[in-house]
Amino acid sequence: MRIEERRIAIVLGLSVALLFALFPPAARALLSDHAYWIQIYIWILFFAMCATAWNIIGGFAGQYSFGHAAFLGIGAYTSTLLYLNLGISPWLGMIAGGIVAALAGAVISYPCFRLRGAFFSLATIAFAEMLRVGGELTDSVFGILINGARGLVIPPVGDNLSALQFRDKESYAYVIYGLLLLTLAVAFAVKHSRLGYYLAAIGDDEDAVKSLGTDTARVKLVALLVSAFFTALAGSFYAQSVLFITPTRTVSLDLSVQMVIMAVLGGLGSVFGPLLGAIILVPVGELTRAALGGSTIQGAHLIVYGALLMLVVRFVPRGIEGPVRQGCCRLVGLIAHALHGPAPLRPAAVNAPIMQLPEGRGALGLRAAAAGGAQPLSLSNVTLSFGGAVGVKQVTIEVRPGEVVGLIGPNGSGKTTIFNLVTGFLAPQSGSIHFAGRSIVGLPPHRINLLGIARTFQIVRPFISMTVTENVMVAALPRCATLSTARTEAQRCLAFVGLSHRLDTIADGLSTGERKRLELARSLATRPRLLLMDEVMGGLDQRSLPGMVELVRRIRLEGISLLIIEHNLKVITDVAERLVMLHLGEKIQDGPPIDVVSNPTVIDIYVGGTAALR
Amino acid sequence: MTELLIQGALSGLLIGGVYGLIALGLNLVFGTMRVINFAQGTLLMLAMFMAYWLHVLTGLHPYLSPLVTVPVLFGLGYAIQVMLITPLLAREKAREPMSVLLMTLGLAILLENLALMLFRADYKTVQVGETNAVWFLGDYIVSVSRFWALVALLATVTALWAFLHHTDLGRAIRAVGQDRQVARLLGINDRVIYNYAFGISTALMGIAAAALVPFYYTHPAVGTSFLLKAFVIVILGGLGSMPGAALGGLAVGAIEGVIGIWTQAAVAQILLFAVFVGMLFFRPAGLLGVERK
Amino acid sequence: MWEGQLLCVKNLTVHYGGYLALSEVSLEVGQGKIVCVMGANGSGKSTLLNAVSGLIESSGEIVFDGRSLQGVPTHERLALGLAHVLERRRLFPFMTVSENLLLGAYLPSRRSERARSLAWVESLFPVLRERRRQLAHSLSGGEQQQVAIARALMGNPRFLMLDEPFLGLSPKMVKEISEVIRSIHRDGVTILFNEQSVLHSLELSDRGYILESGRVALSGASTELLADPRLHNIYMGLATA
Repeated sequence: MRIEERRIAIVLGLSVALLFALFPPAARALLSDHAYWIQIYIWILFFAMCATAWNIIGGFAGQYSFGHAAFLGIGAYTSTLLYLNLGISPWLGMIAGGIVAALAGAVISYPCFRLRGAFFSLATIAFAEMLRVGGELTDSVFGILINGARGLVIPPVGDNLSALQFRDKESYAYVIYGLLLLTLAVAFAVKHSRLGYYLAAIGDDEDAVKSLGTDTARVKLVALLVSAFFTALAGSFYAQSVLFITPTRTVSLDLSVQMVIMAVLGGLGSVFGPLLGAIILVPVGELTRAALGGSTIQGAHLIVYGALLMLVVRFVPRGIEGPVRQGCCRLVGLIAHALHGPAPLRPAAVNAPIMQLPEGRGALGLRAAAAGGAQPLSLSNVTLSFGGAVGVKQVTIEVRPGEVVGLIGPNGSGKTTIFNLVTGFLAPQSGSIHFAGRSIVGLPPHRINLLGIARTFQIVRPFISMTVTENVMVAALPRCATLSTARTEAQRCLAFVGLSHRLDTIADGLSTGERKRLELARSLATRPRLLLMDEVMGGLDQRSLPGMVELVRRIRLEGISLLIIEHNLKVITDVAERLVMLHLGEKIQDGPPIDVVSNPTVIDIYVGGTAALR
Repeated sequence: MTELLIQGALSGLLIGGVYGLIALGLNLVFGTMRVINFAQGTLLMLAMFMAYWLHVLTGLHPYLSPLVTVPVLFGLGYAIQVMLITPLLAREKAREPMSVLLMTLGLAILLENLALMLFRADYKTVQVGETNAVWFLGDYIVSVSRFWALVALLATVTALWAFLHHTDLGRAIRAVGQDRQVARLLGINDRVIYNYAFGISTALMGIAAAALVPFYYTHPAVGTSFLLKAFVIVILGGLGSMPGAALGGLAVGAIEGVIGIWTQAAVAQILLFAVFVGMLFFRPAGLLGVERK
Repeated sequence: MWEGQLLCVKNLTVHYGGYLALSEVSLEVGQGKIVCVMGANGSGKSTLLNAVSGLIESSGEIVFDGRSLQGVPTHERLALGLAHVLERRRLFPFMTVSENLLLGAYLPSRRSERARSLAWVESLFPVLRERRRQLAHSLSGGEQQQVAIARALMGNPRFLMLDEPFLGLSPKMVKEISEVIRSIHRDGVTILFNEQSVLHSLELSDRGYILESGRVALSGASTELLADPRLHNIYMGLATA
């Protein structure tokens, strides 16, 4: 977007925010039943806040919690109990509630995050239900009265700012407005921080993120803490506005589900999506309730919610935020056109040649990292067996600094197992693995990456919902102080592999060759001293092969050691200084390519018996 | 005291039969399609209302209601699979397994609240001969209606087992769950098999409803409470294991009954969830579960 | 052009997972012949078979018995007479041998002849009789391979594709299975199989193809290929034809 468009967008955004803020007083002035409308307004903002907070862990990271109302309850009860028993102002109690909720989140996160997908969701439901039922059964805890299912009542004290109570609804509206703005700001900050990049990538492929140097468990934990904190704030607000809380009203599966529905409808993974979801769903719910016979039926609006959830999942799985955003962009463009005239034509994206490599050695400047006494990778008598099948048996391999070693052998010979052992996804049962002078057995994948080992995967795994640049940024961020340095680093790596013309393309839309190069750029951004390449030539057509071979050579010129798994013997014999051959988990050859490839035993294994023909 | 415990266990065991039936339904769908049907409980609720209305309007005894409800529910389940779930499975994206969960959740919410609106929130009960009848087994009291619920479970499990192991369609269903690609190579249309699996899973609720209606209240929210328990049972007994689901149901029922003697039923709930969470972490394959890739 | 050819593949290309697995591959299998496809891992030979049976998407022509298979879903191909035994056996692990075999004749048109088919496969593989009630995952590799082939034969196919049928088997078992292949061939079944071992494949087959990195590196009558001195270099991809 050009500068004028950006300014217009900001002005529009601020206007919308201002309109929102002015709604309560406008309603009071213009509508006779303003109390009713302001109450709806409050509910919209309340749910928007809950859903936005939920989205930080749910939409951003793809962990669908169905128990978030537990944090609502914790917030409500903490601030209420502090107020009733110690006279502490709910403004402070709110923050205390947030902290307690965050702690609760931390406690359940360790066990829960080990579960995936639906199991994670089921576990969150179980935890929330345990809390709810437990709350109903408990009358007092350590002498503090909780009143179980009968609940707690906050005595009304009229207009009292420090006690967060007001006679008229407008003031409550201002409070929730402020809280929502705060939550949106935090969500925005998270999304555009390094945390946001990690979360989005985790949602796509958590293992790949780990192998790029990020402790994903910690990332998810931080997201959950933030999410829990703000959900609890909303819970305290709720308590103050209705002045009566029970376990079932606060820790309700219905509320948890509604948060999820609003986020899904609005757009998971976007900052303003949940707000959109709330703006649509709350009034729709109200209308339904009114049309279908008053407030005697609790769940009339839920009928519509259920139907809408089904429709959204089926037809608009990414939520309505996308189309809405496009509409807004178009609007901004129109306004800009009207005010400033047509936009200057952008130069057509040049159809860049396949290779665009800068000349000279050490173009990436990684030499400094690679040199400097880097010690070899050495596996020594490593053994690992899988149940009945042997993975690797007494394998000893060494890769010296700056060396290019090829790893060959038939399927099932243990090559990928070696990679998984070196990168920490598997642990050996015996033997040792040393790198940079220390043992790396038992280290988690992200730590091994930080030590200087990077890896590409045979079936490439880009983060499909992120752009090319963002993909590489995820790899660069652990080592860069700011987002902009990470971006620059990412662009340099992408230039090195020849993808400068695809910087803003979503990874999903790349061709095979481009994906392979993206994978390499990502690995290079982690500043490796040793790069494990798994079948980089696989799946490339004849035209792309020479380019990839050239790229491998350039990487080698950076001083990075290479261990390459490759089926294409012609290519690997050209590129590698040494070949190591595995067969049925054991090393059977280790030497210069020419010797290995013409060895009768090797030929026999590959070809099967033609040696006998000669 | 022991007599009280045994009495508790006995009563609980009998309602465990119903739990087992619901868990069977969940299991069938998960074992075949690897999909979690959040609407299973709501479908049970629908079945119960069907049985209720059949009784109120035509005097049909609940134990005969499966003659009507089972075919209707089969058709409903088949339609749900075809119209709602298959389109989602056809999309090949990273976060796909969750959309079926969300879709069935949406369906559950829709149906439950629709029922709430149409049938109101009062608890409906059906009074038939079996409702209050009891038998005496030595010193212990056995509620006749609950006894028949247990019989229903055992009969259904046996019939289901026979179907899955001794008919071509049943074998095909198991095959698709074990290796979908090979099944297709053998001429099995996996999409149609999925439809059947979902249909059968829903039809099972007709039987569960018939067993429940004489002694349990009929109410729009009844499905959700059973569903949560059923999830626990499926995990406890083992994903993909029919006997596991049946035994798990009985076990959970019995445990609930025993604990109910000591304290409030709600405590049993919490314990159950605690066990559930524990199983998820330590033995996701369940006690009798079979490892599936 | 299609005369005498039961299977005709032209310019088959397969992309999946962002990976070019096959590139413009053409291949023919004549009626009543045995054809082998050889290549190292990653050469695309499994992909080729998977594309023919429709398990993966492909572009290009696949003509079976005069009709195009593009657009025909996998589960309809057995009815046309095309059977495929996957790599690594892939039996239904928690079903008995008997159940696995019964499923081989699942198609209604095959069900009526089930007893006869069962008798036939049990004559080819006597060990099946003893193992009827055993769960498939508890069988040895060789036994599993026999069950897998028997299961495919229960469908009375005209054309049988075998993906690495000899992988991981003892020499004795290799001989036995080779004998079975010859036997069903004599009974009129056309066969296409994959293998890594060049010598064995060429001895067993009429015609052979060597795949390398997703393309055909060499093809011809088996006897001619056996006599080609550059054979093993081409096979290992160190030279071109």
